[in-house]
Amino acid sequence: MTETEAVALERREPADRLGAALREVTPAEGAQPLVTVEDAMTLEQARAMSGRRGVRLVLILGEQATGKTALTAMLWQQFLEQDGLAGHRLAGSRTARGFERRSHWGRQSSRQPSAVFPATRAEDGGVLHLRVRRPDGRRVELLLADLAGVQFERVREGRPLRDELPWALRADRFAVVLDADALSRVGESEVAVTRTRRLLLALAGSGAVRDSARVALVLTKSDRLDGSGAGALARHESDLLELARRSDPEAIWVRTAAVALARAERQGLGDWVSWLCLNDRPHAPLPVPEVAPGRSIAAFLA
Amino acid sequence: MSGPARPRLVLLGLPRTGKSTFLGALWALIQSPVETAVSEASFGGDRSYVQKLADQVARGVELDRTALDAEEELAVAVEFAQGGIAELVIPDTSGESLRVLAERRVWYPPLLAACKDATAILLFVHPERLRMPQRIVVGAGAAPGGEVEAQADGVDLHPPDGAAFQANEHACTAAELIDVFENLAELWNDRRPIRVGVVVSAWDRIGGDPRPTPYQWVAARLPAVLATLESNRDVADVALFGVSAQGGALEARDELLARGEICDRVFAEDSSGRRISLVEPVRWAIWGP
Repeated sequence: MTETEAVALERREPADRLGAALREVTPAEGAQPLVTVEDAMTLEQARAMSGRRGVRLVLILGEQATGKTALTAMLWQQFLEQDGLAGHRLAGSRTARGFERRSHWGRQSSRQPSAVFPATRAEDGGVLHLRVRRPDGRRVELLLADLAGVQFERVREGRPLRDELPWALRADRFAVVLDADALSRVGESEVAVTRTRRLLLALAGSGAVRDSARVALVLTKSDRLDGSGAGALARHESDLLELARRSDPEAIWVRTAAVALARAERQGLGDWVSWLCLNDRPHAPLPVPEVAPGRSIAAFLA
Repeated sequence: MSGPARPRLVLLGLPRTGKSTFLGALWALIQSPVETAVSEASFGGDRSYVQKLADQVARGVELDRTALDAEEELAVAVEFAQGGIAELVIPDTSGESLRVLAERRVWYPPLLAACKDATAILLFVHPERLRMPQRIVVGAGAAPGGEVEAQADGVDLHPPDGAAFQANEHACTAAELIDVFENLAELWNDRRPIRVGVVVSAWDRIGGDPRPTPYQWVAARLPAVLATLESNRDVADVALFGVSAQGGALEARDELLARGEICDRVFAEDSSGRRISLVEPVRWAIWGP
């Protein structure tokens, strides 16, 4: 420390000096590691959790600025502001800091014409953890992948999903996003629908959706839907749902307005968390093999 | 016949949340002939540190902040009117050591040792030292100039400052406490559930007509923390308390001292708002409801 720095430190308030001292604290060798993380979990950390009971690895597919990060951050924000969301309660998080970081600019820009959630850069991508207690008392560990939109741009352009995101094969929930704001802008509407359609096709062709996994189409920023956007949605929603049902016959639409107008209610977050916490899809019953007459139970008994 | 309970109780909280004040008031009550809920079961040992805390509470002066490397504790055999005798140990953990965990993201060794051995935790929150998350809303109905929502009781609503995210400046209190709880739960993996009492200090500062109960207050101010604790009953037995370990504001010291000795001034409420002795959170931490 230089003399100037020392003088500057001395002039600070005692709390500041203490803060400076705290910054010097480093982990001791062999110290108890924290189970919570600085920001988001790495895929390796998420993988370590993903084999556990009640864990759902959630992949949210959508291109840049379609509201993926807002959808995730606002779920956290909602739990901070109010207990209970469609009967679901927060039960913990190992990435509270990561949620706070993602909510930060939204809070900073609150009450402005639009909320800001900075784009997730490829190097910032990770997995956010949320433990939720369902109305039936069961706890579900949600691992929400927060990835850069550019990765899905590559998938939409033809790179196989399993090459771009090999761990997608382990995902339990796939949410494909459609941006209602883009849907309502002239010239962007068709582009938005096409991009969502391409992602659904990529998903269906990837073989990544297991029999027990679920797929949903999530309409984000639904409060921005104007007349033309509503018309575009009416025109395409059945077709998009049909595509989603190629991967999951029980696929549904979830409409959300995660960031609401002042004094208005957020919309769809209850449906969103309910879908995330649903049980896995029941496995289809195995076809009953035909038994040769000579080996049937009836023949044996006789 | 079984021997006395040997509880190790940890008072946990971010800096200046009232842990040492509570410890000082508790020690004063243990000694007070007026307080019938608890008494000292054996006289002996070094009480100099807690006596200093009790003296400061008695004089109505602000307590020194507990140093990060402090190794002081209250170690005393006490007899509770409801419960029995306990050889109680309460280390005076520094709030700064919890900051090390929440912000520097490492266990400060003395805090780790205390929490590992703990049989119960009393988690302190100060109603005027919460960082609450600014509500995220957009567009119509916004206050001119993006003003923050008015807040009746001076809680810092995380006002926008335009600065990049810094955990020590911007992370809300609930997020920090949830992070801490996750790490505590991991420590207790083999001996759950542990009793965790949430103690709202400076309870005399809570206004409202009708005044909220401690449960209502925590549910309104820290809903995520309450939900997390209540959703993990297999990890933690939870109780909520409001305590006023000074009995009033130090800014009105003369008025405060005019109300009498510590036992005349201090008060506490259980989660439903029922008046209880200030020692009740400690009794609950040892023996439960």
